Amino acid sequence: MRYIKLTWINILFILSVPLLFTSTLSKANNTDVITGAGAHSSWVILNKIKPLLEKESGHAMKLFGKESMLGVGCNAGIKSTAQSTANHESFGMVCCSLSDKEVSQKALEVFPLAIEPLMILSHEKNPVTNLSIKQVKAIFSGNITNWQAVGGHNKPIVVVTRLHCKKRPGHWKRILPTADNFTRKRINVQSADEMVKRVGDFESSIGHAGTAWLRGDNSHTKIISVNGFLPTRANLKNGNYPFFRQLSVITKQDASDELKNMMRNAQKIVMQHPELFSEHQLLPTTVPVTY
Amino acid sequence: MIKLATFRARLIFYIVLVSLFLSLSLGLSFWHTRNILLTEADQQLQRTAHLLDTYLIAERLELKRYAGIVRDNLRIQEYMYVVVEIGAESTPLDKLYKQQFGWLPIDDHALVTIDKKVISGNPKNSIVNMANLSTDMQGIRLQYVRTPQGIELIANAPVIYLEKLLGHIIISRTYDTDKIRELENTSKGRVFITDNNKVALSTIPSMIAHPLNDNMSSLSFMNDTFMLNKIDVSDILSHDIDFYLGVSESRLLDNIDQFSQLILFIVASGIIGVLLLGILFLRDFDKPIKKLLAVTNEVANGKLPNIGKITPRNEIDFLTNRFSDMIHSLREKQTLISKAQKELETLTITDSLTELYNRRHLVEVFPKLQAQAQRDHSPLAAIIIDIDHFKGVNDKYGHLAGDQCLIEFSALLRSHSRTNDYLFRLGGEEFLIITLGETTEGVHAIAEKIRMATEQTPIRYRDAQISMTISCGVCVEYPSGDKEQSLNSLLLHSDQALYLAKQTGRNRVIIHTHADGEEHKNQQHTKT
Repeated sequence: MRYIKLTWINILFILSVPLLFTSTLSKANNTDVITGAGAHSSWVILNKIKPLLEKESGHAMKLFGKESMLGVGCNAGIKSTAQSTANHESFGMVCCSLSDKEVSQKALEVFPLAIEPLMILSHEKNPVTNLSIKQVKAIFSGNITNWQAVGGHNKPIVVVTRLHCKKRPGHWKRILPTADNFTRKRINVQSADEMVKRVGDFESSIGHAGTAWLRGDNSHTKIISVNGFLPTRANLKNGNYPFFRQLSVITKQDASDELKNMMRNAQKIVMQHPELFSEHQLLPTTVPVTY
Repeated sequence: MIKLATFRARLIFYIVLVSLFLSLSLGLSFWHTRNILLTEADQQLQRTAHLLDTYLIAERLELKRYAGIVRDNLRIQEYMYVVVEIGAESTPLDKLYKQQFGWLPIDDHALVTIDKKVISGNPKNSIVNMANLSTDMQGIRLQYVRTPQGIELIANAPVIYLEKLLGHIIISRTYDTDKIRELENTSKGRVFITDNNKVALSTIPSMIAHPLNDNMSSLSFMNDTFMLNKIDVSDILSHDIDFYLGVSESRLLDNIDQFSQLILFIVASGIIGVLLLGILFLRDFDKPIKKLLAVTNEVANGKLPNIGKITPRNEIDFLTNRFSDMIHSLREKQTLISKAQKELETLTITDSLTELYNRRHLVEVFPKLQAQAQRDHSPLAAIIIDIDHFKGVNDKYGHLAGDQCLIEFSALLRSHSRTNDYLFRLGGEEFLIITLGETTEGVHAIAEKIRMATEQTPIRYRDAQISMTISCGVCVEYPSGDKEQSLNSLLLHSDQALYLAKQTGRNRVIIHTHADGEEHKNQQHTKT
């Protein structure tokens, strides 16, 4: 039996799962409360506009998704959507684009909210500040294994990956299309939090995470620019930064108009208030990204 | 067979018997208890050894569990992977270990690669070299090894990531003197760890390297010997390292010795107590009984000793007092008997009317007087007195008057005779005075004094005055060797003189004159 480390993230996860389901069930008798659950990055958006949404819709919202980790992120969003009932409607928050097939099979309706840049992270002591797209791909694929090859110290590169939502397009697949393309000599983490910690632990590491995840001042990590561009909203908008993912909310296709209108209203608010997401470098958009 | 005739002998015999019984009982008790102590010590050693064994097993399981916890930690595995497979620096791994497992209650740790390169922990750690790394991918290997720090219990487990063996986690717990002392406090025995049958670790520093005895079940050191019980650690690799629990025989024997001294003290106290009881018994029983026996002996010998009465405290005192009462009663009876006897004797030798000696007493006392006279070469003198015409008194005044005359004449005789004179009533109105050592003249003077007093002292009887005279025959002789002849001679000659006094007119004293000398001529004294 493997030993499970009791971190705050894990504790919150353990506590949040029963809360997620019990609260969903408990709302059967309370149609005024709408529950949303899913990925952290989408949660960041919904959490920002929650007061506006509640005010305009007249419904209270409960959101679950802060600091979500693998298996609780997008998948929890899909599950939350599927559990929606007429008496207690719920929606999902996803950090990846859903495939048409999945949308069709699960009878979902997607409401895109924003695009989130994917940061290429390295240890703060790493002298390398910029990599080309090729170099990034070569490093993550294992073709480049030493920082010296890209102008850094003679240190082996420690690749840290978080290869979640493998059947959904986009996200890390913008770096390499499949998990098999990544080097086997890597460590795989299950959350953005772990990603930042791993990269911060090893001076010769490299990893990736969405910009919605705020790393904090003591993470010992830094962002490496790609092709000379940092993962910013502006660089995304003008097409200079190559790695990103789409953040959306989803409902059932047969969800009530009220809920759908609420989601549409969310899109509207995001679009109307981009300043709310400048800290996280999120680019509001209602247009689905195609890969 | 010993005869116990006396109460004292019986009592002493019983005391000796009780003392022997006490000594024997306590001796047997001591022997039995000693065996129990030895057996119990052996069993206690085994039980404690079992407890120590259980404790050591628990420690091994605990260390094994800790090794498993470290081994199964995913982050440790990942970080080891990064260090071993990717070649990254090991500092994050070491930091991670301290963050995650710094709390483990172990003394040392090392994360090593397959070729024993230390990637976490002290690179110079001796447990790394001593560790016999597990080849079982799932197994955790335990072993005892000897290091400069002491004896180490090492657990090592392989660390696997992505089905690849990365290295091993090695953790250890050190057995130093402090630990041994802790074990000794737990087990209440002496714990030895040996390496190749020589003491490798002990709380007694000078015992280090001291070999076990040949029987491997004891250890002699200086003046002490320890009974040893081996703790079985054969289930793990021990490299000739063994654990022993020892109990000091000297301490045990000291305990037994102290116990024997206690028993001896109890025996001695018991015997002294019995002896004191015996002495008290002797004092309370033997002494009064001996006293009673002595008194009964004296009583049997005709004596009646005076035993004072005491305040009765027991039956013996009561008996003594009763005995005292009995002797007192006997003494009173004896006094009465003596008095009665004396009265009887008096009655036998005296005349009941005049209370003068009778003729029988004359026969009895005369030999003594004769012997005295012979020893003193002095004469014996006899004065026979007869009251003149006494029949006429009886006839004229009656016999009672006659008796009164005899009584008062006897009183007159007593008053006019000397202390050493013997006065007799020979019968009727005839009296005799025997005196010793007087000359004829002296005797004559006595007789004459009596005659004159009688003559001058009339007897008063009722209204009448009765005048009397007496005739006296005196004889003074040196007694011969024949007692009877001397008495007869003295009486005969004095009686002859009396007869002469009667013949010659009465109221006179006549001295008998012997035929062989002038000195004792008849003398006639008449009333003038």
